[in-house]
Amino acid sequence: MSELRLGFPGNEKKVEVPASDGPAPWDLGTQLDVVGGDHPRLEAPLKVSGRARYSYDIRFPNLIYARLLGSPHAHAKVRKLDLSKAKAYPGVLYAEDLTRGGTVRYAGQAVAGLAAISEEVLADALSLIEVDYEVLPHVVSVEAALAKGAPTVKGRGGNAGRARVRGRKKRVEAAHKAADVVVDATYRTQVQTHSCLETHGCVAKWSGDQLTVWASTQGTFSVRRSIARALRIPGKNVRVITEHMGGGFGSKFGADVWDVFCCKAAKATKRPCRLMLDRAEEHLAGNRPDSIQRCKFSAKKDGTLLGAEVRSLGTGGVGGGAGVFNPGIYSFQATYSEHRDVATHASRARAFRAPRHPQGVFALEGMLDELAEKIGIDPLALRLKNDPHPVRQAQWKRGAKEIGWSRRKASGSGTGPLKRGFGLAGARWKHNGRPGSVVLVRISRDGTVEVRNGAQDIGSGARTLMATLVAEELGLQPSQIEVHLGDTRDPVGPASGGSTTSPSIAPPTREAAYEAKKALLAQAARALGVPADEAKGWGLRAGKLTGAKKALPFAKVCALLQTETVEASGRGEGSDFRLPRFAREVAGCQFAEVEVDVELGTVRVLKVVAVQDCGTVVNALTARSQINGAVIQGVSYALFEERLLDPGSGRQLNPGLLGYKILGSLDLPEIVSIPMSVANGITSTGVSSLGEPPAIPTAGAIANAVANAIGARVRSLPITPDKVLAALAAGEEEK
Amino acid sequence: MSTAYLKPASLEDAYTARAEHPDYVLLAGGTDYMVGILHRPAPVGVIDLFGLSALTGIEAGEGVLRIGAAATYAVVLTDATVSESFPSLRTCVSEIGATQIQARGTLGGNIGTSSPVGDTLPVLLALDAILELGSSRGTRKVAYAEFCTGYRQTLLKEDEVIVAIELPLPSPGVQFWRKVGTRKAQAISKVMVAASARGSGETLTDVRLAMGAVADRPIRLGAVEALLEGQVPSLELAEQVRAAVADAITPISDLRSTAPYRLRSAQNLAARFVLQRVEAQA
Ligand SMILES: Cc1cc2nc3c(=O)[nH]c(=O)nc-3n(C[C@H](O)[C@H](O)[C@H](O)COP(=O)(O)OP(=O)(O)OC[C@H]3O[C@@H](n4cnc5c(N)ncnc54)[C@H](O)[C@@H]3O)c2cc1C
Repeated sequence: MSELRLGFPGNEKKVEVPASDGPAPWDLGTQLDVVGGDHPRLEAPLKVSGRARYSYDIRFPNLIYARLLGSPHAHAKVRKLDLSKAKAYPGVLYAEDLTRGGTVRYAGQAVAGLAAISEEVLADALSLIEVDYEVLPHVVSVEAALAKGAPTVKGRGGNAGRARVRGRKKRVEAAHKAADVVVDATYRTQVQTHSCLETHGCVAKWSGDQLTVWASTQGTFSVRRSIARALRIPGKNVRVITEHMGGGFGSKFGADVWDVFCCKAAKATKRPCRLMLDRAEEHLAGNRPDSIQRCKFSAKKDGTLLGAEVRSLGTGGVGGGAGVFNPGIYSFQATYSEHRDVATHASRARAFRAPRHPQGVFALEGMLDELAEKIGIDPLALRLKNDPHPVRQAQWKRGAKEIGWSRRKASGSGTGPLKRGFGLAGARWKHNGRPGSVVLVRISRDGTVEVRNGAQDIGSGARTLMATLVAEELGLQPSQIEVHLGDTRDPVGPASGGSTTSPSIAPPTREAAYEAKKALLAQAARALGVPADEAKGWGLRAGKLTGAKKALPFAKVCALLQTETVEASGRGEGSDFRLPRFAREVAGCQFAEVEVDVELGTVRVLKVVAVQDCGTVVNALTARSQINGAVIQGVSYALFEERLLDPGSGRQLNPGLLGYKILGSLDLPEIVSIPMSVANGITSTGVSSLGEPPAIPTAGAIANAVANAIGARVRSLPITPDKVLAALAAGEEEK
Repeated sequence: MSTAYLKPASLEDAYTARAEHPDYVLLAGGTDYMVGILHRPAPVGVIDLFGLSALTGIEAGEGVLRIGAAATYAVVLTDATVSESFPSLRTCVSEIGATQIQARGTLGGNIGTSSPVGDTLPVLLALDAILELGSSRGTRKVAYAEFCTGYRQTLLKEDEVIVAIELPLPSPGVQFWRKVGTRKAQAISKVMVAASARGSGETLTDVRLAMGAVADRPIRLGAVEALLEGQVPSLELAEQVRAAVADAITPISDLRSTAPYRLRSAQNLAARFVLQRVEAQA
């Protein structure tokens, strides 16, 4: 057994763990040289100079282009689809009818695909496809889908799915009865689209029966699997490459209809084929579903939380997954929740950066503030009283100090048209590392170090993370390590979903480096004629051999190799991914300061402080980048983004970035990102999930700050100026 | 069929081209015209005025500042007289699009389109701008207040070119400009309010109050101007302005905003014009 010092400074816990043959897990006592520092992304020079090749940039001399034709109707039967004129158009090389069941269930759903020698030819030829639709009635909102006599989206039965129930109604009702204050309110959130900078799609190229696909994806291996399945070919015949990628956020896991079409067109024409969606199509390729959350929360006068009851509805369009994370985070005496997915004639929801969480936490934290207001207790005090998480307890205090929480005044008490407000919200996530990934580390005689894994870097800086871990183990700098990612010919790696990539890939990376180091030192000892026993105490640090008579530089040690390289694979076998030993969940919280113009209803977010548990912070620079990005996306969700569907036609009214507004640089607040290292004893590295958790609390914190500023609450996202003025007017009337 | 392209070297050439090709499109910065170009049939021809020196100068003369119709916003922003005498125009121009758009966009283009959401147009109304229109037949002057006759409709004749915008000097001592969009920049305005007044001391005289995005064209609110004329700003006056604005406009709901919001924010912005004077005097 060995002892680990876990937790964080100020809250330490000692834990006994079984000893392993692998590298000893890092804990609070470990002195790390490069892990935890600021390391610029290895690929940054390529990206800022435009040399990084995204799937979008892959070109071949005889490349052909493909596009799909979408239905103009939200619900229709395809009576007849005639491709003959389009096929006959000069330059068209391949065409396919994609109307599987003959019915389209959302506007923009693909009915046919074409491939041609140029995008111009494609545009012309697409207009020659003749489709005879029998237009059927549609519904695109939850309300309309639940109305009496509404057309059904998924065949038989109503549009409301089965209720998913958690908790016991009786218990929560009893809790409410014992309460001093009860708040009843309905919160709503909008549909947000992923709006990935690089749209979805791929370039496909065949060589005999071997297919190479350059895919914009967050799962190279999941694309390999789904393409192989769709084309009925062995997985080994499919190679997927994603060297760099322009955003996925949960919308790019498998091969989609357009990817499969692209591969087929390439096969049929024996030419490489490219199909990348345009922005309007990208808006159809996934979204964060909306929600209506009817909440009833109760508490005692002293701020003890009692009951939390939530009845929610949401639509994932023709898909599902519209649940909300509400209630949660805090210790309630009793909770009850009931959720129904409602089907509508709209494109399918997909996982989106912390699915269910931002929308749930917006309502949850709003309800807590409403309780606090009614009780007359400070919102921060209410959190501290009811938050069971040891890490978040510390984070609340840290964040409060950073934002200057003591400056917060009673809600609506400011004078003049510009009013300041402060708000906060919390988040939780799981330690989501998974076993199964394999990382190869190869050290060459010339002193170069190579790291290989087939997973993609979704944008989090996975390359640099891996380089930093290997550098730590080998006593080098991250910039000295060459990392190859995003090619399924290399060892298997995770799909980037659930914030799994870093925690899954870190342990095998460290173990591979550890094993490679052992092999290197063993060969070096042999070459120098040092007995193995004596060489046991050898190590590598600061570019040199340590523990030996002579502190040989790393390159000289490598030069002693008898073989051209030493290689080792890490499998993370010495790591238990499901065993956090300090706190079961990842904790985070955010604070927002806003300024609201009460004459115009405009909200300006001045500052956001985000304190985020990262497990081990491997690269503080990219950790802050993750948090910054999440906050930016959160501000945009809170104030701007909203997919609007026309009830009449079922089509999107704002299908481009002109109408679908994402925040601009002038709308950015000052962001103070505080990544926090917490030693959790999970795996040999302690790296945990970071991509999603900081995306959770931003909207909730901003909404609470707005309510504090104006003394009235907007219970609907996005918080647009008209809603702010309406809330103020409603507040006036109540008085 | 390809689009013909003409780049006149002089104003006379431009007039001739215009007279000979009434079906060609006039182009300055192209920042309005090019939006959505792929979704429209290609034009028969283009007459490109961008950079035509006769149209790009800015000159302060006797009783008037003359801004060439094809002077870019970037150039307008560097002009000393604009900065000193027309702060409302300067602020408005500085908030148009972003750097790239300001490097191409022109006042002539904003006026040529005369969309209800053209940002500079309420400012031009509030500053009593006069347009100089030219053609082979000669030149004429028209007040901007008369120029825009309906939704994207203007008095510009088929053979005419907007040559310059004239702003009377000395400029009004009190100027006001505010716009509201979905986000801070690069968003089409939901509401814009421009105002000006002259007069000595606290009393407002020669009041102009104009709005955009609340009607089918940029408009002046005569009734509100009359209400303010000769008055000393006060909290009560601001309240009266709110009521008068409600009587004067009937905005619509669309993708960008709702009718009640547009009305409310228009009322508050007009009241702000008054309140700012109150605060300045306090
Ligand atoms: C990203 C982006 C952001 C924008 N932001 C704003 C904004 O914040 N506020 C705003 O008001 N606008 C904005 N615009 C619209 C546009 O930039 C402005 O309206 C600009 O003033 C147009 O000027 P231009 O020279 O580019 O016009 P052009 O596109 O060249 O011309 C517009 C119209 O005017 C006519 N025209 C141009 N010059 C003359 C002339 N001398 N005589 C007669 N007719 C003429 C043309 O025939 C055409 O019909 C934006 C546009 C884009 C693309």
